[in-house]
Amino acid sequence: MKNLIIETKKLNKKYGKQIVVNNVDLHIEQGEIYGLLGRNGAGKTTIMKMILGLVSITSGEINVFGQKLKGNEQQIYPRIGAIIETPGFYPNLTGTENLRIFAKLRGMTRKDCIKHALDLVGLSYNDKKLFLEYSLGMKQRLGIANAVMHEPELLILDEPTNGLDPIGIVEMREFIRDLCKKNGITILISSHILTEIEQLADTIGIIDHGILLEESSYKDLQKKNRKYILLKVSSTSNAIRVLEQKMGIHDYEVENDTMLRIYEIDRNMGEINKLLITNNIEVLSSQFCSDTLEDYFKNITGGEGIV
Amino acid sequence: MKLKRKKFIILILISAFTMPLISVLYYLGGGPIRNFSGFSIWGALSYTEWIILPFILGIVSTMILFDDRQNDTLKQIWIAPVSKSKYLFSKLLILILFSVLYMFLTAVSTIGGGVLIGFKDINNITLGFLFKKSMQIGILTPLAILPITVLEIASKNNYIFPICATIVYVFLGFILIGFTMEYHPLSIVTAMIIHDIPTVETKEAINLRNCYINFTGFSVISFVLSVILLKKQDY
Repeated sequence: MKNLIIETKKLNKKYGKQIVVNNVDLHIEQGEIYGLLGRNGAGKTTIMKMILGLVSITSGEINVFGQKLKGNEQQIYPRIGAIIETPGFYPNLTGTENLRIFAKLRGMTRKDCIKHALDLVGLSYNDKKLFLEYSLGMKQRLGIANAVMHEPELLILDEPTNGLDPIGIVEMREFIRDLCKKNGITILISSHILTEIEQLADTIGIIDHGILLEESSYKDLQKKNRKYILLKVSSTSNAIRVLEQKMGIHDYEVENDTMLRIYEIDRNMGEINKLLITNNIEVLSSQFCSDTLEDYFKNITGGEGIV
Repeated sequence: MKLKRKKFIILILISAFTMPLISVLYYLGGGPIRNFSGFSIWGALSYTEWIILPFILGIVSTMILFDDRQNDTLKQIWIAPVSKSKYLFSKLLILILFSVLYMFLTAVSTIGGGVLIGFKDINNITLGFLFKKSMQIGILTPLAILPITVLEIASKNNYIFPICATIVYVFLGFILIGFTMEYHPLSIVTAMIIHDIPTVETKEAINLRNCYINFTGFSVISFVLSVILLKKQDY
């Protein structure tokens, strides 16, 4: 049985008559990077805020670490690290001073925890620079340092690459991946940038207008988006038999009685057609198809693409 | 630590010298101040307690609550997690410490003014009286400001409304001192401070029991309301 770190059941958030989050059922497994993908205003941040208790829930249920969130906040939240929207720190203090405050608030006693967290994100310990003088990238790094300082089991990162330069984005991506793989931290990350989610997430949740349209592992989505030869034939069962026996094709998917997807795209389409025809299987059409995650996103959200 | 490098705070603390300085000028101008006790009432009590300190505390409390929202630190604090009541209690504690420091500086500068004038009755008794009353004001006034905290929290990202409310609240308290001292937290503080000063006369006898009951009621209700509002709000 899968060990779910976050599970939401029929999660709803309404502001007046406006439905911001609509019956969302999230399932985030232990040790995975879960990417919440959606346009700006799709409801990603609101879901994260509801999990973190920053926004009240209109209806539904949230379970974190197998416990109901409601009533167990004081046991659950110390096990979570998060950045929501912009990293919030005191502008008149240095990075180290800011982290010292949050270390005290969390009751942390380990003396080197601040230095360790700053080292992790590449910021200097005891730097005299005030937070208000930080660049956007440095602010984001400090936010991550604060989120991981207490060695949480779950990390919730809302658009963590916002404001970072291209090199910073790559570094952040590697850092997040390392946290998950090396430290076994479960990570919930949101982004409106498709490539970000594509490169990081094990499981992707696609959200649009507050509705979770899809929740699939990246592998499943990849399968859906793989390049393939789409064949329309008179009989898929006969076609499969011939293709397996005569050409050794095994990576395929039957859509219905007449449609067949062959994922072994290095095969010669002409040869396939010829083989089927010579075996009295009518080939009505054959074409190369190449769906991207963006195409998929467009299809299921029924609108424009995403960056 | 959070108020570190805030020049505004230093400027506010400098204002602790205002009333003692005005009192020196008042004395030099022929005002009816006969001894150090009278000078202490002018320098550290009266307008400091009625108007200056409550107004300053209203601004400082607005500032510290507003800053947490403005800088988005409030979200990080809730995520830490810190309970709403502990958060509010810590803010109240900061306000009390600030207020006590302010009154300490006022008391010290009042002594400086007294020495400068050359009062002969500066002794353990008069100094004890001055420090005792200053500390009482320092501790009680932040509690009397708690109703303003409710408005500060309710108005979320708007700081103009709570500052305007502070002005109205402070002047209302000041005006009510002349009529009744039991129904406004700030005028109750005045009643609690002056009730054992024989040289100060009041229109009506002070009912200290009512003062304590009402003051506690105002403070507790304001604190609880503030916590409820913090819990109800979205961030």
